[in-house]
Amino acid sequence: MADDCVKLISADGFEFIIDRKCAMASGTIKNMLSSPGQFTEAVQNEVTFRDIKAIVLEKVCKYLYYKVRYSNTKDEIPEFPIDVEVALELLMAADFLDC
Amino acid sequence: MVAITLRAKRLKQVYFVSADTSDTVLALKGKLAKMVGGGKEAATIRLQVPAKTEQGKFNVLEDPAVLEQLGIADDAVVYFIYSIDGTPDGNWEPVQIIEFESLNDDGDETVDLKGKGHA
Repeated sequence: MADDCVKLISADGFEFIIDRKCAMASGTIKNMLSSPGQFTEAVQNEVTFRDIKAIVLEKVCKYLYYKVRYSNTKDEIPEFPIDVEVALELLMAADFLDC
Repeated sequence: MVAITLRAKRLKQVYFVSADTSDTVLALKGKLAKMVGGGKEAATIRLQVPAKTEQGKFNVLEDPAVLEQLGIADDAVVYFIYSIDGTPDGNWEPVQIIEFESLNDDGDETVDLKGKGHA
């Protein structure tokens, strides 16, 4: 895996490989990856979320790209679409991930 | 000209790749190969998209094609496969789509009514 990428693993075993910069947009992931100790997450650039399903984690990844893309720009920011079915679990995941 | 993010899926992996609509398929493969790492090269990767006409069939994306002309926009999904014996002309893996688990636990569908009094 490239050095500027981070792998997020969902509860059902799906692996999502995203840019490190986008992963850092989540406070929780940022802390996990840059903690001063030799935690496995920091060493391997991988974080496993045993409580977050793939559907939700995929939406989270898309949001992280959206956040990085539109932070600090004066462009018109399009709405981020969220399906109602995913909304509740997405809310819980977002709260946990601080993003 | 337009920067887009698309998802490249294979088995249980999803790679979020940043690209431009003016990139060629070959350039996209190069970016994907770099993300995959481990010495993978663009030549041993093949990208496919679901065919619009038939269910379950896939169209291979040719190297010189430009993403914009293929109609690949932001948040698109492409499936990728590796060549089985490491050469671009050899055999290719079949495309396997693994769906995400559904949100609701399917086990709750059947409600056991035994023991509950009915009017």
